[in-house]
Order: sequence, then C-alpha cells, then structure tokens
Amino acid sequence: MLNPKPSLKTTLHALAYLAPLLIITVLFTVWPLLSAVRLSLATRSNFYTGRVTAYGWANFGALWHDPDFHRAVQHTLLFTLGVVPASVLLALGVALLLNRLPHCARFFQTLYFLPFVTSTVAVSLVWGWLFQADHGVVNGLIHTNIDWLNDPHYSLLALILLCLWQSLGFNILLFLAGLNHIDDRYLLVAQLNGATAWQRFWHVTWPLLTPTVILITVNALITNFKVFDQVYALFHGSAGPANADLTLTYYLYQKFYIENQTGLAAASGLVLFGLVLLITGLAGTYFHHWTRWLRKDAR
Amino acid sequence: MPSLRRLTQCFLLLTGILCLSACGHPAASSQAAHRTTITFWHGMTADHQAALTQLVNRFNRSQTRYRVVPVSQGNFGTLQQKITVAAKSDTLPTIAQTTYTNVPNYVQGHLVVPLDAYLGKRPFQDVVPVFRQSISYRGKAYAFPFSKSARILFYNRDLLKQQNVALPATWAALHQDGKRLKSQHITALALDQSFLTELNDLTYQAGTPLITRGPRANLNTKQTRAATHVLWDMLQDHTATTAGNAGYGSTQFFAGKTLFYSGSSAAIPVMQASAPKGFHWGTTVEPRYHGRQGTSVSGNDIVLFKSASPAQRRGAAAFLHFLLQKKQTIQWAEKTGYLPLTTSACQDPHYQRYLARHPNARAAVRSLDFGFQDRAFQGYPQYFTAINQSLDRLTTTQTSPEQALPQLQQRVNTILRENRGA
Amino acid sequence: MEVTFQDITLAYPHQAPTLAHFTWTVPDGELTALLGPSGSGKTTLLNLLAGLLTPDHGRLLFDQVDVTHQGMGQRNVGMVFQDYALYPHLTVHDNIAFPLKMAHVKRAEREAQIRQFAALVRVTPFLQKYPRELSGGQQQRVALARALIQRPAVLLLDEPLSNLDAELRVTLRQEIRRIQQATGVTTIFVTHNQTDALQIADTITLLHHGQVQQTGTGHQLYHTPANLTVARFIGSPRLTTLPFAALAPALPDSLAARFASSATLVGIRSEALLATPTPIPLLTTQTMRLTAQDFLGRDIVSHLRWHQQDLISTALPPLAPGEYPLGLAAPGCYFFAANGRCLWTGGTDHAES
Ligand SMILES: Nc1ncnc2c1ncn2[C@@H]1O[C@H](COP(=O)(O)OP(=O)(O)O)[C@@H](O)[C@H]1O
Ligand SMILES: [Mg+2]
Repeated sequence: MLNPKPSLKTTLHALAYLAPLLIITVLFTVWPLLSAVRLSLATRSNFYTGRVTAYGWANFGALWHDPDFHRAVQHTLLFTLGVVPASVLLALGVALLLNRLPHCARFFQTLYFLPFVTSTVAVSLVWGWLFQADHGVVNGLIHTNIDWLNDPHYSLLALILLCLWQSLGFNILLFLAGLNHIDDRYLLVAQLNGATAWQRFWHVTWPLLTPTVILITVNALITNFKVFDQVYALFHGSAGPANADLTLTYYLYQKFYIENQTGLAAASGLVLFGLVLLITGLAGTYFHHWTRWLRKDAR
Repeated sequence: MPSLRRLTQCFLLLTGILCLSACGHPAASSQAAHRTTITFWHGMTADHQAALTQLVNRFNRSQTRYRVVPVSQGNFGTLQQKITVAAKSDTLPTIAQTTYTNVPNYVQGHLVVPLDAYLGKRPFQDVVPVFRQSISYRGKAYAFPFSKSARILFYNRDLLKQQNVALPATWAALHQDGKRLKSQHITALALDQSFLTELNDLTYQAGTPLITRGPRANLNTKQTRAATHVLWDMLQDHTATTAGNAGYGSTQFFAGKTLFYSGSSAAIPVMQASAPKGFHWGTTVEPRYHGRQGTSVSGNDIVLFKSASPAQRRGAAAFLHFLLQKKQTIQWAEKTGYLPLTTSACQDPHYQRYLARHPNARAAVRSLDFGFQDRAFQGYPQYFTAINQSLDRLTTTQTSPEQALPQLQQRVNTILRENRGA
Repeated sequence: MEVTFQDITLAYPHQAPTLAHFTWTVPDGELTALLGPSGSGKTTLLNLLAGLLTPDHGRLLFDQVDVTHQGMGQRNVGMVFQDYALYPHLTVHDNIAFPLKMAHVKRAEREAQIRQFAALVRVTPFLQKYPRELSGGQQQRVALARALIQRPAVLLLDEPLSNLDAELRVTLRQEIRRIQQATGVTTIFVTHNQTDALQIADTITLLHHGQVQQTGTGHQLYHTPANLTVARFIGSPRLTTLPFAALAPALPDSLAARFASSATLVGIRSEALLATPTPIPLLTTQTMRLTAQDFLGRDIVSHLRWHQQDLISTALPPLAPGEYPLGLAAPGCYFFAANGRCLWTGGTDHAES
C-alpha cells in the first residue's frame, strides 16, 4: 500500500515521532515563554511562591518610563548596528579572499575561528588588557590615549570592537560554506560573458550568496540583540561606565538577579522577544522577496 | 583494537575499586547515614575556602549528630543567582552565605526562618555591637554575621616618609596633602570603582546617614551634597582617582605614585600576596569628618532557610554556635583576614598577640569601635544599584553632585514607595 | 573566424600530456563537429579555446592573430555548457541580457537585441520565467541565446544535447543547425555521439587520444576513413574486422597480391555483405552460415559465420538459419596496415584521394 491517505492512525504515528522534540520545545520554550508573560503581567506577586495577587500593565508602563530601559534599548540598537553590518561585510571580504587562497586557507580559517571557540571570559580579559588606557595595545596602534573602558563615550565602541572580532570567525566560516555552494561555472560563464571581476562579484556571487547573507545577518542580529556575556566579562559585572554598555539582556539580568524586580525583568524579556521576532519577521520577508528564484513557483 | 581493550581494562579496574571501597567501610557509611546533613552554600574560594573547610571538619569531628557539607558556588554573584533559582525550584540548602541586606526580600518570599528559636538570644550577646546591628530584621534575628570586614586606609610607607606626610586625621587634611603633592605627580588617594562606601562613611560621620529610619532617603540634603563634594572635588582636581574598570584601587596604589588607598580590610591577604617586592605599606583607620569617626562595615552573613527540616535547623544552629566560639572565630580571623565576631575574641590575649605580630590587621579591629552598617530594608538591592549608578555617573561623566543627587533622591523615593506598597 | 591550433602541447599536473603537438584548423563560419569518445580531449580543446587553459607549448590563432596568452574576456568566445549554467537568480530575459549589461549596452538597444535573439531561439514566451521553471530544451535555447547575443567570434557547444531525451535531441539538433546558419558564427559542436555529428555538421573532426584522426564531411569519414579508429568509430553497427590473410584467398588475385605485404586487417561494413545474385559488382561470393537474425525495426541484423570468423550484415532479407551464398561488395570493404592506416577503400583509394 503506497502513499496511505492520512488517517487518525497515521497522524498519531507521525505525532509519536515528533513527540520528543515537541515535548522539549514545549518544556523549554513555550512553557517559559508563558511563564514570562504571566510574570510580566503580575504587578503584585511573590516570585518565590509564585503567588500573584494583582495583574496589570504596570510593568510595561514602568519600562515605558524607565530611562535606564530606554538607554538599554538605545544601546542595544546602536550596538547591533555597530556590530552586524561590519561583521557581515568584513566576514564576507575575508571569506572571498580566503576562497581565492587555495593553500593556507585552512590555517587562516582556524586562526579566525579561534576567538569564537575561546571562552568569552578569556577573550574579555585579553581585550580588557588591550583596551587599557596607559599601556594598552589599541591605544598604541592608533596613537590615542583613550580610556576605552572607563570613558562612557568609548566603552560601547570597545564592546562593539570586541564582539566584532569575536563573531568574525564564525561568520567567515558560514560565508565560506556559502561560497563553496556556488558553482564555479557561473563565474566562468560570466567571465566569458565579458564581466569584470567586480561585475562578477556584484552580478553573480553576491546575488547567489543572498540566502547566506540573510541567514548570517539574521543570526548575527539575534545573537547581538542578546549580548550579555561580553558586557558582563569586559566590565566585571557592571554595565560599563555610567551604564554606557547597558544592553537589554543586561538590563534584564540586573532587574532579575540584582534588584529582584522579577516582573520588570520578565516584561523587558518580552520586549526583547518581540524585537527579535520583529527582526526575524522582517528578515524573513526580505528573504522571501530576494530569493524568489530559489522557488519553483517563482513570482 | 588496542584502545577498546584499554578502555575495557580501565572500566573493570574502576568497577573493582568502587566495589572494594564500597565494601571497605561499612561502619563509616552507616554512621554517616545516622547524621543529619547540613548543606552550606558559600562563595569562598582558595585560602578562604580552605580555612572554612578546616572549621567545618573540626565541627564534624566534634560531634556525632550533624554533618556540615560546604559547597562553594565560585563567587558571591553566582551564589546569589543559585539561591534565587533554588528558591524557585525548592532545592535550597540548609544554610547559605548572603548579605543581610537580602534578608527583607527573603522574609517577604518566606524563604528564611529566624535564628532565635534555635540559637537563643545568649550567643548574640557577645557579638561585636556593630555586627549585632544587622542581625535583626523586624525584631527577629535572621542574619548570622560571618565574613565581615571594615573600610580602612592603606598607605605607602616609603612615599609617606619621603614626602614627609603625616597620616591624615581628617578628610580635609587628606585633600590638603593631596593638593601639595600634585606638583610631584603623586596622587593622594586611590578609591575602588565606586566611592559609595566612603560617601556612606562621610554622611554617617556628619551625623546624617544616607538612609535613616523609615526608611527615609537623605540623598539630596545639604549635608549629603557637602559630603559628596568632599570626594567629588578630590576627583575633579585629581587628588583622588577611582579604579574604574580595574575594580579595585590597589592596582593603582601598588604602582607607587599613590599615597593612600581606601579599601576593604578583606583585601589585606590578597594585597599581602600581590604587593610588589620592596613595597612597604601600612593600614590605618579612615579619616574623620565633622570631627567624628565612623567606618562602614560590610561583608557576608549566613541565613537559615525555611525548607530545612527541624533537625537540620538544630544542626545549623549548633554549627553557627560553634563558629561563634572564641577558638573558631579567632582562627577564622587569623586565617582569612576577616574580623573576629565576638568582643571577647577581640580582647583575647591570643588574638592580641596576633595583632601585635600583624600590625596591618589592627586598623580594621580598631574601626569596630566606631563602625556602622546600613540598615536593611525592602528594596535595598534596588537602592544600591541606583546609588551606584549615580556615583558612577559622577566619576565617569561631567555630571555634578547638584545634578545627580536630586535625580537620585527622586528615584530612591520611588523605590522606597513601591516597596512599602509591596 | 578561423581558429588554428598550432603545435599545441598541454599536460594536466602529474599526467602524461593530454595533447601533444596538436595541430588543427577550424574553418571560418562553419559548424564543425568535434567528435570523439569520452576522455579523448574534447573539453580540453574547448577550454584552451575559451582561455580557461593555457597551453604549455604552441600557439592558438584566431584569424592569424595569436591569442594564446589573451584572457577569457578579450577573446570573445561564446560557450554553452553541457548543463547550460544559466544564472539561477536571473530571469530568462536577464540571463540573455547579461553579456550586454556587462558591456554597458544602452537599454533600448539591449531590449531590441534580446527580442531578436529570444525570437531566434524561440523562447519569447518564457522571458519572465526563471531557469528552474524551464525544461531542459528550453534552458538549452536560452543558453544559446545568451552565448550568441554577445556576437562571439567562435561559439563553443560542449555536449549540448547529452542531457536531453531522444526526441528533443532531434529537434534541437535542427534548431542549432538553423541558428548557426542564421548567424553564420563559427561553431564548434562537441559530441561523443556520431549521429549528432553526422546530422549537424559541415565538417567533422574525429579526435582520439588527443590526436586528430580525420577531418572531413560525414560522408568522407564514413566511406573513406583515414584509419581503423575512424572506421570503427563511425557507423552502426560497428565495422567487422578479420585478418587480411583469412580473406586473401577469396579475393581477386591481383588485389590480394597488391596488398599481401602491406595489409594486415580487413574491415567490412555491414551493408557490404549482400544476398546473391545482385547487380552490384562483387569482390567475391562465399558460402556463409547464417546463425541468427535480430529485427531492429527497419533493419535486420544478420549474424554470420565464415571460416571461424564472425561477420555481420544488414543487407539480407529475413531468412531461416542455414548456409547461403553471400557476396562481398567492394564499397564498404577496407584494408588496413598494421599501424591502422587505411590502404584501400573499396576502389576509391583513400591514400591517393
Ligand atoms: N582537470 C583535469 N585534471 C586532470 N586531468 C584532466 C582534467 N580534465 C581532463 N583531464 C584528463 O584529460 C583527458 C581529456 O579529458 P577531456 O578533455 O575532459 O575529454 P572529453 O571532454 O573528450 O571527455 C582525460 O584523460 C582526462 O582524464
Ligand atoms: Mg567533456
């Protein structure tokens, strides 16, 4: 009996196969999300006992009026804008170069990938040292004496640089995979069609790489929207000088673990969730639009 | 496949060892089963952890009913997070190290039980008065003082002699010296990242603490502004510096161009270990302000969780009682650099001899006479975050106390109001 | 444009040379088929032409101009790959437009040309579709249009029909022929399929082991093969061979004597074995044993046995197995020397022609 019609039995059968993953998803994603929604709406509650005595929008109202939260949103956006485009473009550039380097590509690939697999604490320690005002390597390189980690004007930039450097290797790897996926013959044909090196990149490599670019960008956006470890480690458990590196996730952490403001923490978490959802949705639409050619039923 | 065989051999060997060890001490394990286990989460590491383990071992040997199992959570930050998570999932230990300022929150969450019922009032009578201030919340003893330290002034002996500077009796004198030394490129005072403790001291000395009964915040009073200016002015004219991202001022102090460092006495062992060769330093009490002395005492305490069984609670009390005994508290102080917990221990000839041998430890003990602690209240962690953020703005941006303090007062008022409602 | 390979040697790394002292001329404006078995070096030749490969030695001339060291972009060569390599992210329209866009041709001019070439290869209805939505044959035409629109000096087609089914093959063969004639562009059509080559080409060059075996019309290659390789490669069913010594006694004496010392092998095309009597002049008539017959539509393949030799004929009517007197016609009967050179082609002496 080929292709049995979907019946109750076969549906249950399929469900049984899906169950483990479904249970995990519900347990570790849906349930916490619902709990967070409940917590964010609780205006009077005991976090430890879980008893809620009053519900309302007060937590969201408090966020709306909290200058620290505004700062956190602003910093998160600035930070993401600082890291993501630069990281994606740099990674693409390096990947294109490595792709042309047949011999030592693996070596460089490993070199670039190392920061990604090194613990954030170690990375932050090293960068804390590089960013030192007096004898720091960064100041030595660009002939300045900026107090990177103590000057609120520069500390976000310091964080951006660190995260940029740390994320580069992974993005390069993804780009290399994407480039590998592109058939060389398209570039050959383009060359025969009289395209210059730049035209080949712009009219062939780049559009064929769009799915990869979007994937990497979305991934980078989400990752960087949730930046926390690097802040925590680089500024030794603070949000930088004058809160200059207060990000959304750090705000959440601070409200939850330090200030015991569980409702506010949950509400800010939901805002973060909403923002990430929005970005993913926008990226998805964009992806849909730019990769029509991938689908059979194009247009 | 030689590796597979090796693996099998290892496995057999391990199984054998486990069987042997399991059969080897039947008496010991059955005895342990009789004992009530008291788990003790703490945030101590390295030498401090070793000293604690020693005390615990001695306690465990001293009697047959209870057994304390210390569990280090790495540091105080993770310890705090672990407690929050464990409270939610009903996996709290019997006792844990925490600061007494968390007690109001734990009481509200029905997480902790008062110690009085198990420990009685008597053991607390000998506790150093300043530590006693923080034990009680709403008339009941919740926080048992444990790893306590005082803010003291470290000084660079050689530089002091070379510049012919006397130990500063007052903050004004310190500032004056600083102005004089600036031409020599010498900084008078190194502070930690935040100068909250020093500000706390100053307002206390002025007789107008930041938080008074109520609780009421006095953050924008004339006195607080004046006290803030003492420190802020020094930062402005560079007679004082904050540590910034380095965290502790000791780094700057050890660089040799700084006369004083205002820091915690808990740092003494670390500073002893990390001082550069040939660097001579001493300690003294914090300067006066408005003619008065006053030093804030900080550190960690121990709380007993409600989830513990009656037997565990009794066991915990026995252990805390044990810690308060002269022999133990003196050993704890000597090994860790924390302060002895009882007056009798402070006066004990044995400990006095220790102080004679370790003059650097004296300043903190002396400070106990005029020490004080913040009062704990619902919302303290929020208050603490808010005031630290304001002070951070004062040190890292062009904000003046006149701009920052009114905002802070407002914010803290909100915090206090919200928590009163809760 | 005439293309000349002059004494070209090319070796891939760690291999014996794929081409050694290779010389070949492709006539201007014609459709030349480059025929050869797989691995004979056809693609290598195209890649040399396109500039994807540079020879180790020798020169490549386009109309007497040395282009050996010119880059791909400068040569103006159009190429269609076996699987077309259409840009998947561009519509048919944009695929065809691609070379013009690269050359910054003005939009109006571009659109006019696209219309013209789309009409030429008959893909106008699909202009707004993506390659994924087209059949193999349609994709092939688009690839052709894209290659042609840049007005290439030479058009290279590398096994363009091998991915298509039999029916489409026939249609597209005719299409390519038509389009080539319409544009007059010098075209090299690479294939390992003799039918394609025979059907389509003005001239066929047969390549084997990196050597040109023979160049000529399909008729020439079939009827007057230069050597055994050509005779064996062209024609279906395959040429039957037997030792010259085995056939010599049956041949007219003068012929046998003339080639007694030089010829070693005889090749017989299947249509050269005829039922007797026949008006066609015969070299000899022998009694042969018919062992079996295969009926392949119009053709009947008869398996014959004669003096311990297996022979094949396609010129016999349906017959029952048994002994029959059969004639061997001169056309379709070849003598080969030990080195494979063809000495005699049934009266039309190849060596002298
Ligand atoms: N890239 C290459 N590297 C090494 N050897 C190759 C390469 N391409 C082709 N060859 C060798 O060169 C010979 C000719 O190949 P090719 O030109 O592809 O033949 P055809 O296209 O006629 O099938 C073959 O023996 C093949 O193994
Ligand atoms: Mg080929």
